[in-house]
Amino acid sequence: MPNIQVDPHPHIHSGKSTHKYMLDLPITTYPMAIIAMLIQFLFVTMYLGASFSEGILVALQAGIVIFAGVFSCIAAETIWNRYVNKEFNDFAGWFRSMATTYPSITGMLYALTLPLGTPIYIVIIGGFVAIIIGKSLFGGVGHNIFNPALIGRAFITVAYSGALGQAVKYDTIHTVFGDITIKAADAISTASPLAKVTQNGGLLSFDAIENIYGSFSKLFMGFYPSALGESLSFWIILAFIYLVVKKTIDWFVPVLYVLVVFLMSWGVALYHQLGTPISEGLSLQTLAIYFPIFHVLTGGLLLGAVFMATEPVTSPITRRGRAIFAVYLGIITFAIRVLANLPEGVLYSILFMNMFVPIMDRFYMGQDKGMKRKEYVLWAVTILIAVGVTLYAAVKLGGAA
Amino acid sequence: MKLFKAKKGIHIPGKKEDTSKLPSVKYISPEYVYIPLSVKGSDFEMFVKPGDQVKLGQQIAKRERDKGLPLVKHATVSGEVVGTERKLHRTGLPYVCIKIKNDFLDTPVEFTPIEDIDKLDNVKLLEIMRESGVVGLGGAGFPTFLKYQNTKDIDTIILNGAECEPYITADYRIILERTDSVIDGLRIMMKVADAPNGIIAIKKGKKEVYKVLCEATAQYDNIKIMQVPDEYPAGWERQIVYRTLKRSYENFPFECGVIVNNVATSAAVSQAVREGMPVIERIVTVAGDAVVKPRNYRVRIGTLASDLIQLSGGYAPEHKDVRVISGGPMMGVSQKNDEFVVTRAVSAILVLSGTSEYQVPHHQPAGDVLLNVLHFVEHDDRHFERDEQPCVRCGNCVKHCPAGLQPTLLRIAAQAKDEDLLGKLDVMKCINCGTCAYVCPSHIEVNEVINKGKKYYQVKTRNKKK
Repeated sequence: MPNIQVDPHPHIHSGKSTHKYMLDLPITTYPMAIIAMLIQFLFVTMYLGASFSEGILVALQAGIVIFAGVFSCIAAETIWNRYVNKEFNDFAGWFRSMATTYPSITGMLYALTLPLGTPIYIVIIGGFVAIIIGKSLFGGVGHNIFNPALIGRAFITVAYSGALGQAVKYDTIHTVFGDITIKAADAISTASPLAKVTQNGGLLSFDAIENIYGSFSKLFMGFYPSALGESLSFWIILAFIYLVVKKTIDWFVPVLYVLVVFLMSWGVALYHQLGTPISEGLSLQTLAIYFPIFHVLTGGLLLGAVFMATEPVTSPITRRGRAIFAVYLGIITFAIRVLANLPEGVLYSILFMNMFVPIMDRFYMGQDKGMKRKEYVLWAVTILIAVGVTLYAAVKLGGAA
Repeated sequence: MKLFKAKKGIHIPGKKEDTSKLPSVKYISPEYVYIPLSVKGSDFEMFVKPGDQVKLGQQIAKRERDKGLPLVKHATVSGEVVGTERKLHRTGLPYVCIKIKNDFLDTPVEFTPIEDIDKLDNVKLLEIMRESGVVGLGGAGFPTFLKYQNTKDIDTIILNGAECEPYITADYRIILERTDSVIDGLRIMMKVADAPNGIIAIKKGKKEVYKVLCEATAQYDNIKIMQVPDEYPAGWERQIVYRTLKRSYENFPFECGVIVNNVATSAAVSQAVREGMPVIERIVTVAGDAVVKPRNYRVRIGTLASDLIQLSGGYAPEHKDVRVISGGPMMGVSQKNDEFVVTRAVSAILVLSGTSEYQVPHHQPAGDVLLNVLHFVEHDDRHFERDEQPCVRCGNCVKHCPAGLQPTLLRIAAQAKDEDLLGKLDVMKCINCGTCAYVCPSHIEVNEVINKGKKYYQVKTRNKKK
């Protein structure tokens, strides 16, 4: 006669677990570190005319920045859990603590947003800020209000703006092995694409982009100055497909986010008639389609949309709430990009919208009986804001140029 | 905004292959049967006293309307009344039961069968339904005749054969074995309610049942067979009504002109009207991974579950800990011991292997810790409750909640005992189906906490009204 146990219902479980869910993020982001190193190597050797050994040093520098980012987050979590939470005192306990609080994922996402030439001490400070101020002080996993990786990134962006502004430029690359001077320093190596757009009054013609960055396929593959992980559009799109198939993220959050930025920048481009009419044959210039594509591929929009905006802890709980969250992310990103002369639109828009998550949860509170009247009003207001921002941006950019 | 709509349900592996093909075994000879009354026992009026001889189908106890739900209890074997005894009920509470010693003769009470139901008027049919003690046999145990007391504007009777819980195959076997009774019962109920249409709702993918029902209802134009998706909880009244007729209602289905009954109830109505026999037996599925031979049984009401488990070969010897559950694995009640009574609303007795404590031992090699934490070794679908992780707001519970609520916010409100927030989150709409805990990747017992919050909210709001 076996022992009879009593447990609350349900007595079976789907077998889903947070660990399996979280495992999808290292699967998609850790290969990105290797690819980022490879792309940096190819970029400086093939397009900037650096020698092979300089290319190797650049790739190693990229690896060291990423390692420092991940390591600092793990160190911060270890120190917090060991001396503040007093969770463990041996190696197995440490391992378990690390595997259940996921600092390595935060660390990798943080590291991928850093530019190549970031000084290592800044990387480490940012990592500690990300974990301790961004997550642990709020109560650990599941209690943070803001995306921890972006908190760390925002902190160093503001606190070390000079060093970071220098870090993204490729004319002189500051590595831990000493400075590498690129002899063939030209327009491509001096600023990130969105900064370039800002310099040119917010509008760039197709020829200007072709002149500076070569073809759009180069932009797609990540051969332009930017943060380490931001430019790897091809890999991020593959990761997006993987995460959607595994149902780790909601497909519509990145799609809506990118779509809104796409449509708004397209609107600006159409207003200024940057492209050619359809009658002249289909190409990237037709109806200025290149301009929204340029906006989508640069500035870390894809990285932010796929990995940061879908972070479950800091996004609304309901599906319709997530949809409106994504739309507003797009609007704010675009507004910051063209109106505030800041290339970091993605970073601040996500942190800004994280603050509104409780409000969105409250908006959709209670039984879901389909669309309510105030929800239609909200969507109407949202669309009006989007159209208004687009028009205002179009008029303002035209005046500047 | 249809794209961002919540799914309101989840597909659960049925695990019905073990028993769905097995015809129900008739099991008629428990030595004693226990007819459960209630926890107090005093709210029932007893018609028999110890030492009396009772016949099969004789009324032995009755509860009037003013003391609770009106219920009628019948002797399910013929023999001698021994007395009253406390036994566990399907709800997990000890009920006062009338104990009857079986004489194995099955002497029935006298009855004149009714040939033509068209000659009977509705009042008489309702009377038969009440006196024969037909209750919802799907699991609710709600007296059926109460649903038919106000039948104005009813246009459709829906028979619920969805049986969305895993393991259970009782309704499946009833449809296959008593097809004519089911359809006859539906026609009687349609007559009582003056409803022109009848619908039998079954799950998608049950081809055998669909074929049988289609053939049997071919001669009736007004009875349709409809299929609902293979999802839990597709058998919930509200979802059945919505998925078949696209109607929704506030509190009770009669508001939108629908009455929902279980297929087993329909068969019981037919039996009560045609043969004058109350509900004396029902089909019970005995299944689960810790029982040797899963089977379907036709048992007398009042049989002890332990007898049925013994008859199925007993507990599988490899399991040290088991859980005995009356009902399905999602909403059934885990019983303290296996000596509980099979009542009219018990559709299954499940014997599942126990939950072992999920504890990673300290001082373990790091590799093993890694495998443990990543759930490659220890984890399976039963080890979920001991390794609760913090909620990461993944939104799975919100996506799948059939009532369209936000279980994780409800859980926070329930833990904070915030009755205003509970009210805003519509806690009373929670049906405690357990879907949220089933899908939760952090292995939180969400529905357990919400249920406590619901009770707290009920008490608080009741006090406020006074």
